[in-house]
Amino acid sequence: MHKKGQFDVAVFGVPAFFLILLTLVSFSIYLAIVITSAPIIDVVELEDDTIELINYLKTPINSQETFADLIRKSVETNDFLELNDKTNELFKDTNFRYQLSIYEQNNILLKKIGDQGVKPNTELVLPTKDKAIIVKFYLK
Amino acid sequence: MKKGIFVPALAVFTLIILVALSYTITYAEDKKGDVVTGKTSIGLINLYNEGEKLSFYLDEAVKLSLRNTEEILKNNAGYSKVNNCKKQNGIIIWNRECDYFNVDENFNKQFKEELIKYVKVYPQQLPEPIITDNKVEFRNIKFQKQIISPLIKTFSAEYKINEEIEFTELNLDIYKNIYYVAQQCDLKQAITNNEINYCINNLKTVPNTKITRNQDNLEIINNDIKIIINVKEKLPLPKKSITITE
Repeated sequence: MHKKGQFDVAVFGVPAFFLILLTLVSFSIYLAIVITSAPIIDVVELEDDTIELINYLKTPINSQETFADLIRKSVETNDFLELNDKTNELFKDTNFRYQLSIYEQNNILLKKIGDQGVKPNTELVLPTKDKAIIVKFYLK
Repeated sequence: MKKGIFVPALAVFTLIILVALSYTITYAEDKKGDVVTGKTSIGLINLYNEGEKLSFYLDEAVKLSLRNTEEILKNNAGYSKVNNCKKQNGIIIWNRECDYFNVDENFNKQFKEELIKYVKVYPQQLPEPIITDNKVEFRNIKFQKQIISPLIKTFSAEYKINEEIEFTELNLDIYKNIYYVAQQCDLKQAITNNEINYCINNLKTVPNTKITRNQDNLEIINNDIKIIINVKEKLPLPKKSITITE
């Protein structure tokens, strides 16, 4: 072989050949991974106690009043003792962890009842005599 | 061109093509994304929950408005808070200074006013309530909160008053009965004592009604309702007077 030709093959040809080989192998591996990878299936879970909250608020405490009325009365008189007692009584024979927190519309906390370590996952607006308050709830 | 440059050029060319191809495949795969199930169902449940929350608020608002209206009507002898009647010792006097007497209309006016008060304090904008005979309607309520679903972007709802909350729990008939019986009295400047006594006895026929006479004034008490009638003054007109102009 011509000396100049040998030099060209050694300097350019061999590395280029290995570069092509490396590229093709890498691409094949990449293609194999992409084609065989199965899509990840995520299942969205619902963490919402809205219906439980509404049921709680509609639960009667006597023949005329419900828990919603008791919350209103407690906020108006700033006395949450009865609400605390009646709510505790409602859940005492169950294994539920619950939390009821009442806020002003500007997010000032008025009262928190029940398990302090949980985070409410639903809230709704409750009208009182002259304003609306936010009631947040957790029940699991 | 040198022959030795052909193989390296082929290598570079191959590299460029395959990199471009890899990029295209990666982009296409990314666009496909992961499969997330239950998103639409969650969106529908959230939509339902939002509706329930709003419906609960409106039920409670209607209930409170009815209570407030009942209280206001009691304190104003069947009139709304804003009226032209004169008061004596905090009790309304039924006479021609008052507007015409239509307790149903007064109730509707006051009830709407009370309900709007609650609608206004709700954190999102609600349409004005439409009050008809026995129901309150909120048409096309628009929810501001975005519902988590690619299918549901906006929606509206129509709320009708809960059947459990009925207007019938307010007894407006007491006002009507007292007014009707008082209309039978011959109230005038020259009323005689006999006519006054006859009027008092007639008013007492309305169940649970007590009458106290204080000179020309008859103080009528029926449960929490208090009304004063001056025997020398005519009662308010029953309906808006019609003015006929040529």
